[in-house]
Amino acid sequence: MRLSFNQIYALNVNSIGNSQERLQMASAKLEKQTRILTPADDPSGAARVASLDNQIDSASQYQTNSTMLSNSLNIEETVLRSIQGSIQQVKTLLISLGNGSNSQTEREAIAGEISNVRAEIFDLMNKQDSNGGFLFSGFDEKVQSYVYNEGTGYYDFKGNEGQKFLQVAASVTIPANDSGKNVFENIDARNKAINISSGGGITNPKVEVASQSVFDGYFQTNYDPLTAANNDYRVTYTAPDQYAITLQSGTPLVPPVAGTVQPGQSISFNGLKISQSGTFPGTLDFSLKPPAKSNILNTLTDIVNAVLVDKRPPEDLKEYLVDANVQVDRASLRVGETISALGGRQNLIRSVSESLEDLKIANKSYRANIYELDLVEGITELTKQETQLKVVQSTFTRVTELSLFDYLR
Amino acid sequence: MADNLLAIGTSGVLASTGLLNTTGNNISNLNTKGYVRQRTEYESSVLGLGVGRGTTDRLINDFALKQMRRDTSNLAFYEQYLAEASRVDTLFANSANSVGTGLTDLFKQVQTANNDPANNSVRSLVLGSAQTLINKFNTQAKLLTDQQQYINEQLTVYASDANALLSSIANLNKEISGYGLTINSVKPMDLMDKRDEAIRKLAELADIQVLDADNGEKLVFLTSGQSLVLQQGKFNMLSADGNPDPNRKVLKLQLDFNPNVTAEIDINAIGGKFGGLLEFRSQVLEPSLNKLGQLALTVGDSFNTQNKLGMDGNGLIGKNLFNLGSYSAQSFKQNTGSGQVFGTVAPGEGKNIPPNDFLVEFVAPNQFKMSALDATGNVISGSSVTQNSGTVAYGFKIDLDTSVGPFAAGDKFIFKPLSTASDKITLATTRPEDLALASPLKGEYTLTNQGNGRVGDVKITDTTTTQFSTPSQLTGGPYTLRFTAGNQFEVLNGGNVIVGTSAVMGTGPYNNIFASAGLTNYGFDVSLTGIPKAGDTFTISYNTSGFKDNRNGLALAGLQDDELVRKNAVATLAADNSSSFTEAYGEVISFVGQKTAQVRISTESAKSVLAQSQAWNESTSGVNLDEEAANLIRFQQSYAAAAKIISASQTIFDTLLQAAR
Repeated sequence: MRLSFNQIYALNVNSIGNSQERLQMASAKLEKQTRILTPADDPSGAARVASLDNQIDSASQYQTNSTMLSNSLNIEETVLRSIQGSIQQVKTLLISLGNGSNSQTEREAIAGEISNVRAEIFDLMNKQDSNGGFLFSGFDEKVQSYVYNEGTGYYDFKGNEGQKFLQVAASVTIPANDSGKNVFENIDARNKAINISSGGGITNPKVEVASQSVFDGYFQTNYDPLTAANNDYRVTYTAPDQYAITLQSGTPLVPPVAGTVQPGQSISFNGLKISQSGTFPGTLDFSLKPPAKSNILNTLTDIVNAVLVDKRPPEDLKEYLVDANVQVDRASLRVGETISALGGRQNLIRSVSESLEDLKIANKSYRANIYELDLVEGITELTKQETQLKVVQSTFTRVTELSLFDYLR
Repeated sequence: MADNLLAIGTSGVLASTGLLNTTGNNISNLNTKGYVRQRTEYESSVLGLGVGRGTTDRLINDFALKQMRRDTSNLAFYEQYLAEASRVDTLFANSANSVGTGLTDLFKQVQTANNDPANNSVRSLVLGSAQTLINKFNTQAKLLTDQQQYINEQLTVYASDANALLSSIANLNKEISGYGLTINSVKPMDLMDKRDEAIRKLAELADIQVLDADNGEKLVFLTSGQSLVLQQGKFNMLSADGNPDPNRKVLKLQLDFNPNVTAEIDINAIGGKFGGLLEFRSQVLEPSLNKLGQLALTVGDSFNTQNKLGMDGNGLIGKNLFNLGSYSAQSFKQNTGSGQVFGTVAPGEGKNIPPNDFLVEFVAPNQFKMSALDATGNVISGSSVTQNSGTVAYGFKIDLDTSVGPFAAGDKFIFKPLSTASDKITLATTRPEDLALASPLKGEYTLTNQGNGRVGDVKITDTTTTQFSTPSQLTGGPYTLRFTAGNQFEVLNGGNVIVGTSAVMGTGPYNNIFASAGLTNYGFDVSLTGIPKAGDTFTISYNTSGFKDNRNGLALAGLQDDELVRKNAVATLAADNSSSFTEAYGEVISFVGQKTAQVRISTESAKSVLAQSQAWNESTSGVNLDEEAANLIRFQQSYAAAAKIISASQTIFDTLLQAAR
């Protein structure tokens, strides 16, 4: 094909222009360390990079959340362990309180020590975190968890049962706090019999809990929260040695309970020891105590008052001590359960955090594959374009310096 | 005899001079743009008396020229399109301005606030990053709308360029036709060169066809058939205000000597630089702006809706966090009625907004049909929805304003809320307490319960019910749930009156107890975990001072993964028609990137095609210096030879005279 003069120049100049453009592109990629200068270089890759960035950022945020959560849980665990320690102290003191050889003064001294430990536990229950919010108040963190009620003499829980959840992975939320309602307040008081009275020839009625676990089992299945009358029992003693246990309304129990007993002997009824003196016939009435809750502060208040205020003698103190022992044990168990739950949560946080870290690394490497320029490749490309530009430039000179006019005389 | 020889020699000399002139002309005009190589040809004279008349012609291949014009238009189209698209492409490459990073930051701040909801400084950070996100939307939108402005200006500039070229073509036509086409007329070759060059420049601006008229004029048409240069007249190109959107300029033709005669130009077929600009505007710029606007409105509406389901830092039900703006539709000039159409985002309907513009057509004075438009401005079939005033379509609540006058059947409006949405979205509040991170209700179990049931989930669905009508209170509450011996829940209100009883629930699951009791319009519902015993009670009350609660905050953070952005206006029922915020933004990036990549490839191929046709054209019409140099020598020699003839005839004459003395 015939080449015109302008065409020759145009062709060569275009080559130089193109080479320069490619050189510029290679150098820009090296400078920015990326294969994708603008989304047009790799549209689907650019979109992928945007979503990977989002995932990597989310993973980092979740890890931050995990750290914060772990710290909060550590604080809570420390407080709970201290409370556990105090409870152990109290148990020892209660045991020594039950020692029959103590005098009233000694008992009062021990009760005084118990009230000190109570104050310590009270303080721990009202612990605040670094922001001034109460640890165990649930959602109402500005409200003090436990408050002493001057009127009743007991400690009331003023907080709320809410649990704040923190998100540590896309679908994993973990509670960040525990409410005092669940940890301290929800301790069952000891089940026992109350309203013990006698009629007829019976004197000195006593209904004690001989086996707490057996009685608790009976209580669970038979206590009727809807109809109070179903919880009032009567032991009817008929001469010479019969007894029958029915409800106070007269309805027999299912299955009926009856048997023989001598005056002065005790009856064993579902973990209860029913004893009396006097003569038959007669009746002995008792009721099942409605279920109640007693937090440890109130439990300790009861026993302290029994010794210091009411100054009860050892025989009367026995009931109170049994109450206190059972309830303190339950409180200790609950605190221990909560500590284990915290440990479980910490384990979950750690495992989630580790898997997030792995995911982050995988995402980062995926992103690098799409987005980042392989340095070796980049430098090779740069060298190649540089060489090409030099070649094209020298070709230009050679091709265009040839002209017939040079050879005309 | 001798004088014959003289005549022959003279003719030879003159012929060679002419040839040398032509060669010289070719060499001198090497660098003239659009110059076509000329060649002089001589016929021999009759009766063997030397050289006859010579004709100089331009060496031109019409087909090659037409091909080159077509390829020039093509390349100009793609180059213009690429230049504009690259600007938008670079805009999305810059991650500092990126809306995507703005969204990620916002959600990160919400997560941080969830860790410590009662802390006001953390809440301020959330609002701060929301403001940053809005700024990013505003910036990106502004850069795109600036380009819209620029396109309008470019259209005007190109239109005046085109008019200048059309004038010069028409004038040259007149002059060239004045020379005549007879055998004896001189061909005005430089004028023809000029005219071809003007036509080539015009081809850069639009796709044109050229026809030769009988009198030597060249008639120019747009490929869609409208004529630009007629015999003895021309049209002017005009950039005019669009209808109905005056800011969206379009092109029109106007007859030169009678301005009342106008014609519309089919912008889809115009090609060249005009076409590149207009195609870019409708295929890339406006859809990107719409997609960004859709994202802004969807993010704003989702946050608003979720915030209104929570309790803020003052113990009140949350309010809107973002103001989404109110948008007016533009009326077509042909409308006979004088009503106005306005639209706002219907609360909670943000997920139904498709990334399209809308056409509102009135079928009756107060009934209209709303359809979605695609990128070329045509109604997407199957997208028409018939509505009355105030009802919600495609996520917008349309209000009709008849204060100036009523609507007439046949009135049409274009409703383009998404093109300005990214600009109009603002934060409704800067007070950190207005962020509703807590849930407005709490559920508690009574301590003396025998069973171990716990209130699991208090789900809030609607805070506009009567239950929430009094600030900071649960009207009618606190509600108590009581588990009966018959395994049902009785619902008691604050006055201890039973307002409903649930179905028998046996051993669970104890879900949606209020709904089961027939109380479906309270705006909330409760589910229980664990096993309750007969007589157990649970209380639902207002979450007064529950500022450590972050349940609504968790829901706000969860918006990041929810699919809330509608993909298409028309889709089959089973299709996946929603994407999450990040997906939607990624979609915009890849949309722009992919269009730009396509245009890059098209530009490269158009360049090489043009190079080919230029080469072909140049091979016929271009001047080759070496050839001209050879011709110079050749014609010099023929000149010398012809001059020798003259001197030979002189010698003969002298000899004759000598002989006769």
